[in-house]
Amino acid sequence: MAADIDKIKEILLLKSSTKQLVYRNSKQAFDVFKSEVKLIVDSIYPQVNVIDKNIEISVLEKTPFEFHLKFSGDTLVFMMHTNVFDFDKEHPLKKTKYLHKNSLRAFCGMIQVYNFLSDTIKYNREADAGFMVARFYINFENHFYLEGEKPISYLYNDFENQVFDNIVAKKIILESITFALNFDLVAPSFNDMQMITLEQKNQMSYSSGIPTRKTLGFSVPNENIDNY
Amino acid sequence: MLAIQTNKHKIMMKRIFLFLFFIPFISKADIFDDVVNTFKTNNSDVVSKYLNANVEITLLETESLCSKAQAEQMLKKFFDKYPSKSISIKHRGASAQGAKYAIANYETSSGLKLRLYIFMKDNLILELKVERE
Repeated sequence: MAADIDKIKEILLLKSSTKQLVYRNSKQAFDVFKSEVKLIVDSIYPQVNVIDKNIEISVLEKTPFEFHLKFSGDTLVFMMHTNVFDFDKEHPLKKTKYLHKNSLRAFCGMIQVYNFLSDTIKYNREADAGFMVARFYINFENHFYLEGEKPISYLYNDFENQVFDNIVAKKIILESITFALNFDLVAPSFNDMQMITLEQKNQMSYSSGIPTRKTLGFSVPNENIDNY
Repeated sequence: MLAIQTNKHKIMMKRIFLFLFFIPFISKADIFDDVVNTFKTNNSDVVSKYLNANVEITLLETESLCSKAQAEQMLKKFFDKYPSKSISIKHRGASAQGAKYAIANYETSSGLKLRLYIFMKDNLILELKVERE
């Protein structure tokens, strides 16, 4: 009995202290992402503004764990999860020597980057879908791993040797922006959109558009679209 | 017309972001070593030479957008209560346009661990945050 309690105590202490360290690294990485976004906006805004004053590029801090980067008609939403995660046992990383040598290295904080249409947020179109561009993991050794859409997924795959810094953050942000800019709205076929219910019509009037996502939806022209 | 305009915006944005890839990365920003040294003095008068006329300041639970003089008063109270024992910069970055930031670990003389965040433009502090780790 005493041995069981000692074992629980040992695991608890080891896991808890590791997870606290992971949380601290994760929050610090999130703040680096936010700061690098501010620097990028600081660099880009004067260059864009001098050519076209109607293009908005801005950073909005929603909470200590969420901020938005708005550029043209796109918004990237950066969210940090406050919990610490382990990888699924089937995940390829679980088979690496790096995690075999120390299983605590698998505990990671998570930062997710979603691409939303700026109108989705502006008009609070709750049924619109956002698209995950990248998912960033960081462990207690400040090593990181990145999942994402191609080509972002090719950027960083060496969990054992990759150590997070501001240059990494900047690269991930710039790639995410480029991806969002190249990922355009495609209009659905005429037939798919030919019939709508009155409820859908009312919803369109209320929130300036039907539920929209980049791959399937379309945006409805409105009086404010010239702002973009 | 609208589609053409939107397309032009996108092409322009793509060119600018592509350009940014080739801007040399600046990993060191010497001013922060000086700024952190002023924090190590625990003297708000010394820190104030780096404060902008208006500063966004968060000192644990107190958050405010205030004047330089008000920020100096807030810092004085903060240093009285939480004098620093050690401060070490963990991350820093800078843009070619003169904006820069640093994130540091701030340990008080009583052993409390805090996180210090400083955002500067033209060598003046615009944003200052001290949060619990």
